[in-house]
Amino acid sequence: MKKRKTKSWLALEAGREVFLWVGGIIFLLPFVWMILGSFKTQAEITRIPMTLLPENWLLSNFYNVFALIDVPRLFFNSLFIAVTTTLGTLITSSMAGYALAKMRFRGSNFLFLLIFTTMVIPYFLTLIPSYVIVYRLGLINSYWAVILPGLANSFGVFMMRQFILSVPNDLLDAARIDGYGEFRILWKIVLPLCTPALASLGIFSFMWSFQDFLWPMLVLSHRDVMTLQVGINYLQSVRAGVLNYQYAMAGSAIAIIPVLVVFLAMQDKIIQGVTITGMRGGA
Amino acid sequence: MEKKKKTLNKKTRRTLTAVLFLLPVLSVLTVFVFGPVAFTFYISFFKWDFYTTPEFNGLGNYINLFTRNVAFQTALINTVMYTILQVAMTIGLALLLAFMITERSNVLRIVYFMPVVTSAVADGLIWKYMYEPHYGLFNYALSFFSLPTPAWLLDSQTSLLSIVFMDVWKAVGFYMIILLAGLKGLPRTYYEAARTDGASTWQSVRMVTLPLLKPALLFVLIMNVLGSFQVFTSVFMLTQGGPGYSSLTISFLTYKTAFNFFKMGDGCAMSVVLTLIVLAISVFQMRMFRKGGMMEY
Repeated sequence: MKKRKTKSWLALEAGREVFLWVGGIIFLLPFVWMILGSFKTQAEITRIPMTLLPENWLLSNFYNVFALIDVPRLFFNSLFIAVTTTLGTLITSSMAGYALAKMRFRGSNFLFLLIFTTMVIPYFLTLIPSYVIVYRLGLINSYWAVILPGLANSFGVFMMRQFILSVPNDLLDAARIDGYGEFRILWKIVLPLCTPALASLGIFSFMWSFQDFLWPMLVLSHRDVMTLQVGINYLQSVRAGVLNYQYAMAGSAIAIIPVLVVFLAMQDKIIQGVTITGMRGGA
Repeated sequence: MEKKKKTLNKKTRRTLTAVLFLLPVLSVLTVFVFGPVAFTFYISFFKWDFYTTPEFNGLGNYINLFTRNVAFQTALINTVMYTILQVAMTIGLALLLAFMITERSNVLRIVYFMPVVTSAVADGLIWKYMYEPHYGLFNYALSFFSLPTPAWLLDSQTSLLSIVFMDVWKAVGFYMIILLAGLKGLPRTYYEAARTDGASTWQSVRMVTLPLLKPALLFVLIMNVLGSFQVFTSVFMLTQGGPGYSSLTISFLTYKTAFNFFKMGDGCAMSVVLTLIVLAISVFQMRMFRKGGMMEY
């Protein structure tokens, strides 16, 4: 009886492992398929029956992608926008979070609720007027069209407020007696105690900004300012309607591999960040 | 008198400092959220092509959406279908994985999470290539096992489902991690008690784990439903709503209406309808959430 139980337990364990690893391989397949496709020629990609591995591992697709879109420029644009937005978000969120957590003033509850409700507003409810505003301000095809709306991150405010609430008030009062102003208290005392929150918020703000697509596509159409995501999308329309999958795959590899390398290097921090914040990165 | 004036000053000063600290966030929110929300509602009652003066149309845009606009009605049904399918598959699979993955399988956790961090645009290109009916990976695999090979994105029967599959792949890892955190936080003693009472694994999952996990599950459900109703990038990349209207969603139609056809009033009315549906669902789920007890998020 006991022996049978261990046997069925073993079978169950084995089945579980098999399921997980088969699933894992299926989840990896699109990336493997992308890498294989990025080395194939167009003739090879459209050949039936298909080949799994490329006949020759040629880099010509990558050269061609660099010729079709200005990859270094696109990377620079994306990084500049993501870094600026992230730094801005960290500053504005900690300032607002500090005020909402530690300053008592009339209307603070109302303001907190007001900022909190913006978290559940669907993106599309603000999309059309935001475009009109950016257009009227003459900011189309300027980095600011993307950076400015990103400077108020309600989720960031909410998260910083929750973390700053746990900073002991005695510490702040002691600093006030020492003649510290509120800015100095925030900078010198509160923020050093909130580094885990700042790190998580920073990572997610960066990821979200770097991978954002719809808004940058609408407001940054000029090739000098467009972001990597917008540029990669242009590979779809290369040569009058015919989708050249070998270029699309090379372009995707250029966009995806650096991100995966960074993710693998920091995976414990990022996955932990998801657990802390419950915040979704891209998509 | 002197003292009172001083405290009053102090109070005003405190309020001023607070306002100063909140000013950056509030001003950006005013320009890019509060203002636009009001403006969207306002424009939804007008006919406007972006360049000329808006023309008042009363409830005309809304009436039009529900009586004459077939694209919108199809998009509404598609969006609901997409949400039901995507959420059921994503949460189901995420829950299954969270149960199965153990502390040891760090590699697997990373693998399942990878699609969450990669670019939706690049992923869309890859999946489009995999869905290619003649030389794509999926039909290659299916024909290998002599199974029927659908045209995926090019067939109106399968286009929406194909988008769902890609988005499940992109979202599962995220919800798995959240559910894993929820599972980890459950108290051990309940399981020990269940085991002493002779409960099988399945019984302890059904009677102990799932009820305790209810708050985490509802949190994940709300987030996923809110996101699904606004699905855009995958539709944009894979099908552009086609063939016909078969994979058209409200958000993609809103984008097309406003930025390709320059019917700003119709676009705004669509956003308003989308928002009202999303809010109604959130409130409904929030009620269930409260019944299930609060979570520590």
